Amino acid sequence: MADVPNQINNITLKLKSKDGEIFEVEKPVAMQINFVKGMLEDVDEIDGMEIPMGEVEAAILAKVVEYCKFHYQQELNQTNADEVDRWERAFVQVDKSTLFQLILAANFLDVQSLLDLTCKTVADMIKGKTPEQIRAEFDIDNDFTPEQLEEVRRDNAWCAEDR
Amino acid sequence: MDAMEVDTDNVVTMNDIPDRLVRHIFSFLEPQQLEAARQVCQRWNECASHHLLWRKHCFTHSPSLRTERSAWPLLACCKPVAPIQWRYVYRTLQNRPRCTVTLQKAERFLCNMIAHLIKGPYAQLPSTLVVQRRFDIMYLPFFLNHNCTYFYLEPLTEADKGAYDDFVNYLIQRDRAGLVMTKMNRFMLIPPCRDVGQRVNYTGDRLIAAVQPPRL
Repeated sequence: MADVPNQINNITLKLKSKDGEIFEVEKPVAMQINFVKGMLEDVDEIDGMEIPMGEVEAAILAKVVEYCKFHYQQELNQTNADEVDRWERAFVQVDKSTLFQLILAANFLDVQSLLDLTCKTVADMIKGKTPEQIRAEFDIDNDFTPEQLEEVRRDNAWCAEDR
Repeated sequence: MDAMEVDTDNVVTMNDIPDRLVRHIFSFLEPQQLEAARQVCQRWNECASHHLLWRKHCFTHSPSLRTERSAWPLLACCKPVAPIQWRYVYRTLQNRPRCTVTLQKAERFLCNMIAHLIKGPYAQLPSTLVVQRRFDIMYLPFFLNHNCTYFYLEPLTEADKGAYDDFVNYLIQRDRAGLVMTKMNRFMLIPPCRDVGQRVNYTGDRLIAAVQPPRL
């Protein structure tokens, strides 16, 4: 009898990245990915099932799985908020390309808390910067004509002095 | 560039993020930062000007706009009729002097409120309004002279709403206005009634505070 819940937890799913790498993940961890959860709704026999994860590459899928594992453990152990915060901040210490790929993956796989975390990280890179500094940070070309930029600037003169 | 990133085909940038997700990123920015984002490029200008982003900031700034139509002409200087220019509404709200005040009755804490200046010369509200007395609203015309300053009072948070509503109902049921006196000023807390409605053009059900100028 005592084995039964254990057995349920021992069910693993095989998440397959775009480039063919397989990640074996315990079911409750994988169930935090709504995309996976939705896939499993109509399936009876799921042990060992292989699930293609769309366009998500192995390097990014590894991060998503790492994130889900931590959050699963954190809920079990009732990790305190400070520690979660520290872990999450370390988790998003990645290059921008990886960060943007994580945003796309979190969106596609429908992991809302990961989407919020990664989007907030990008927002933090915007905060406190001038438009010129933001362009440099994200390698963006200024495609305004001088007249357009003047108009946008004039339009927000109301908050300029506080910056 | 890191050696890791030499394969430029795999580099994903902000340009690869669809507008909907760019707006989600922007939803974590404060209004001033949104204004900086608008000046970055055309696409950012469009995304950072999106009405839903600004609507959120308007509702955070003045929660009553979400539920009280009559508050719109007072606070936003317009009617809640589509299409609402939320970014401009935010600017109007931002330019209107306001402060937070604590309401007390008989030394007992009732609730925290936001006071928005809606008419008259600027007057400082004390940070705590202690209601000492009540008077019949039939006497209001004697107190409300043309020098009065008017504030629209709304509960600060959801948690303040219950005590706020109780206080307004208490005044309504007795046809009373609350009176707060300090050394210099007299503050009247007025429930919905004809006298104050006519003076500030308001037909809603929230409290209006009238401040009499100091008696010299």
